[in-house]
Amino acid sequence: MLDDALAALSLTELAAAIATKEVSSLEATRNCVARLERYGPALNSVAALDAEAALDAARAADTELAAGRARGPLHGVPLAHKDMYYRAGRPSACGSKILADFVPEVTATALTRLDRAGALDIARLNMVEFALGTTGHNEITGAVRNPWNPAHVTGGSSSGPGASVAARLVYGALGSDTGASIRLPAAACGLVGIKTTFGRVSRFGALPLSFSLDTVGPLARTVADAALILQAIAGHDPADPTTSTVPVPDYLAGLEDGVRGLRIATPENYFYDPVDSEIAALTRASLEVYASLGAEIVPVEIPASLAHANGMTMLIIAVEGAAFHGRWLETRRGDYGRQTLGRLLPGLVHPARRYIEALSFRRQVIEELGAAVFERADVLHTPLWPFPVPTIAESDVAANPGFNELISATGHCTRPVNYTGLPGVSVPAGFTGNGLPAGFQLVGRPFDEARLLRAARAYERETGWSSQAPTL
Amino acid sequence: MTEEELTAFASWLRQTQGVEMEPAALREPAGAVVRLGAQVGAAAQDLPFGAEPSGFNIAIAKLAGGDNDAG
Repeated sequence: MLDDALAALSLTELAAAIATKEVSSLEATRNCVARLERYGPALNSVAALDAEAALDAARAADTELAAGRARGPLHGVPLAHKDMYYRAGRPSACGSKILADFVPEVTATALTRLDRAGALDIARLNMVEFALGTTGHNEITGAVRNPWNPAHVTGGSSSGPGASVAARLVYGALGSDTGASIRLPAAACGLVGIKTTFGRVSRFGALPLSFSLDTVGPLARTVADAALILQAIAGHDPADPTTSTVPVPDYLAGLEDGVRGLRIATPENYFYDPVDSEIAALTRASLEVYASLGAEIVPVEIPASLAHANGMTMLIIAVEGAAFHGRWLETRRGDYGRQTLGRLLPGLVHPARRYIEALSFRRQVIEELGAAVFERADVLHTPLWPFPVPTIAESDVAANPGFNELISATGHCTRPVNYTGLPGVSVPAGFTGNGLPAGFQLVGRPFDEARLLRAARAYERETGWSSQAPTL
Repeated sequence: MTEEELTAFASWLRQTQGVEMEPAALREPAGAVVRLGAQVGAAAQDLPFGAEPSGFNIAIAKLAGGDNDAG
């Protein structure tokens, strides 16, 4: 029997209810398992579910709590993650045929830290093949369906996390973001998603796509939920030398402090250039909410160099992705989906000179963006998807002529954030005329996730979009 | 790209990368290489002398302020 009221609790509310023993982890997990079994197949969001193991873990969590041993702030809360976070001894197919039987020998640091915080990891969630795609299509495992309307895409590549968290099948999930892959599905599914600062969260034990750009972060129903997950996973990790030693702040401490006096930059060029009028209107309306809450809106001119960031990001992903996939491109190219293959192949061919140039150009873009935006404002506010969330059919371009243009257009507002290494948060902002969610993006200075979350929370509290749930 | 160029491209890919592809299947990837390569090359004209990838860490640390760095 499904308990809709229990499923409707936010992660934060459930964690508190378990801690005070109003709800047991077993009750919550049993409900999640039932929902995953009932709705997961129709949404195609679940790669694997071991119901007995999940229930056993929940029983253990309840036993620990009864004995006075709470592991941490996520004690007993059922989560599930994109199927690219390795857990020793458990398969991780990464949305692919090639790794269908891959059983990792290590556990991802992000999972270890969530374990330490007490969270349960109860399922593996579907994703775009090898995390390389923005729409949510997957020729190997099939497209994940958007719970707001199953004819529509979820966005990618964290497609299963987007659908599963939005459908209240689990209370939160890890995604990964190399060019858009947390923020697009978060926006398309009505969720909060955090693309963390490069180096903020360890990538150890996560499938790599691009070692210069990959980031790990949460998709969650509310800003506080996302902050709670980020709190558990952020910080230096000796196993990932790219992680930073910058201290991790308390992401929840200032969450309710509002935006009065916060300087929010709105771009006069670049970000709105290809954006559909409905999305532009909705994004600008969210800016008016900020103004009404006392934020100072600062129009800024985006430096011309940023216009190159989207293409440079695509080139870097292709080259670094091809390096990782090189062995399989030689021996198993027939086992790739057509779009994945079509995006990796150029990486074998781009001249090394162009790759080095694309990496070397990052400093200039960051410095110019810093001078133009972050010397005048605290946060940059932008559109996210450039158009309303499309149907699965109309965006099913596979490797047909022009697919690169669609991929490029979809990430117009997000890839520059990966290129510059900055943090970005996807914030639910209502619905477009087709009934699908839409979101906007807040971008901050490096390691300034706390300020972004505070700004996101102020909007969430004022508008209440995060409390909306799809009817399944 | 012409058919002849695609055939040469397929041959080069086989010899240097060990990847067998039909020339026709390389039209879209080849287009992406030319398009993105031209874009990056044009932008790189403005790169200061001595620019190199580690400049990213310097820029991130500077924008973050204090002793913050990206790695």
